Amino acid sequence: MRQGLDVVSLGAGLGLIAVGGLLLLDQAGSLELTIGLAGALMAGLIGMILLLSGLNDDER
Amino acid sequence: MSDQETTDQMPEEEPPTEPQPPGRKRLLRSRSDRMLGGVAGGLGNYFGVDSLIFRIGFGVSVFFGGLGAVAYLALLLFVPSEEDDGTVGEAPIQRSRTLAIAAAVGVFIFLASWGIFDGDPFWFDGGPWFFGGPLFLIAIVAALFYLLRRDRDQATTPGRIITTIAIAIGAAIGLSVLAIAAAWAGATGSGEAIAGVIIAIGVLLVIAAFRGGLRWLIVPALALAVPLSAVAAADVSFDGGVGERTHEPASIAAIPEDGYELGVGRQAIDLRELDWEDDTVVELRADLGVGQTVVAVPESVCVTGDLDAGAGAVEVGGDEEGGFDVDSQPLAGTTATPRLELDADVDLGHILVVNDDELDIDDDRDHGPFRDRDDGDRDQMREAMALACADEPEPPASEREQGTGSPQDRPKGNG
Repeated sequence: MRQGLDVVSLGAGLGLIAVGGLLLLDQAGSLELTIGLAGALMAGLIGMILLLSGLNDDER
Repeated sequence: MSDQETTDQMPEEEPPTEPQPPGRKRLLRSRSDRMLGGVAGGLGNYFGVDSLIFRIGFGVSVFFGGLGAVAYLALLLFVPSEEDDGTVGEAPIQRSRTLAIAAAVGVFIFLASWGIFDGDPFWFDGGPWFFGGPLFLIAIVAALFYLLRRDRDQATTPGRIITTIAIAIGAAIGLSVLAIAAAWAGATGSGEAIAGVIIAIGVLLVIAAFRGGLRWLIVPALALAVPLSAVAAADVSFDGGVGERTHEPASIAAIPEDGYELGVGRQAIDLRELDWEDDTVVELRADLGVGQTVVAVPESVCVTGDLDAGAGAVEVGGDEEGGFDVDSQPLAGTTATPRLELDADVDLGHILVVNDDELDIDDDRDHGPFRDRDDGDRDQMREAMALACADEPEPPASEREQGTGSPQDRPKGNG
């Protein structure tokens, strides 16, 4: 593990909690995910993770 | 920004952060004229025009196919930025291994999407492995990028290349298993458990973020989230089992009242042996989760109804509609007989309605019965369907032979 705050993990974690929550609601029948909404959610989540990763990269 | 702020071309072998020698101007992302990544500012500086022109150009191009957004992203990744001290920094793609791999994966997915949405959801040949090919290639591309990045300071050996690719392929297989498991759980009503796992990983990541991070967990979490969201959005259901089914009812009474249902696979429903009288109307329901439904009728039968595909394509008598949320109602309102009123749903895949007396619907099953058929075959089916669905009865054969229609206008045979 790296030391200190890892913004990538934080952003990805929050995003996954949000997406997982929506998926849970969909599977429970409380809301109806459409393909357009699901695609936008996934694209947004992956894009955010890549962006955070690129902007905070310290692998080298 | 003035020309003085524009940095100049320097030889490639020089370290990237060295001060720039005088010479030819070099395209750099601007540090001072920057709204997002300094791309428009850098272009304006390079070409000696107002950067606002490029900003407007990028913005407008988004509404014309998005090419400008792609170009902006490419420039953002590959063009280095000028630094505050006047030196030239590395391009993001050089600075970050993650970005290099992400760009490679992104480009590959972009290219692959052309194949996926080109009327063939079973790109890379059918079944649950239809995305296996892309995953393997992504793994290889990622491994090569990783080696290229790492090998700047280390010697490349065949053994290391093979080892790295093997590890990448192993990871791809593991992620494939996760993805298939998530999709399967979602389609069999157990998606809540997977959603719970995704939330748990998210919580773990948030906690770990304050202790230095645990980034490797992101990839398996996405391998669960992406397929589950796709299955949830498309309402994919695997009810009805898995496999390949062929139904050839001997009579109309033999057709189940609830129709035919299959979870995953291919179901062929051949109605060509039914006793189609002039006033026969057959109602048929066919549900499919993932795969292909083929319904075959005689050429003389009109097909109407409601055919839905969550993602994929619907083809009726040679006319095809594809994409997401396809809702096809061919020849709605037609009362011509004999007629098949088809109510068919597929969550992900194809619905094919064949009005051909001779076509072997089990033939070439990997690619569907139309993959090798040419436009002439499709035209023939269109003409036959149009004739069968004409509200006026088909003229007797004796009249047709007297010149009321050319042989090419007529369907071949009779069911």
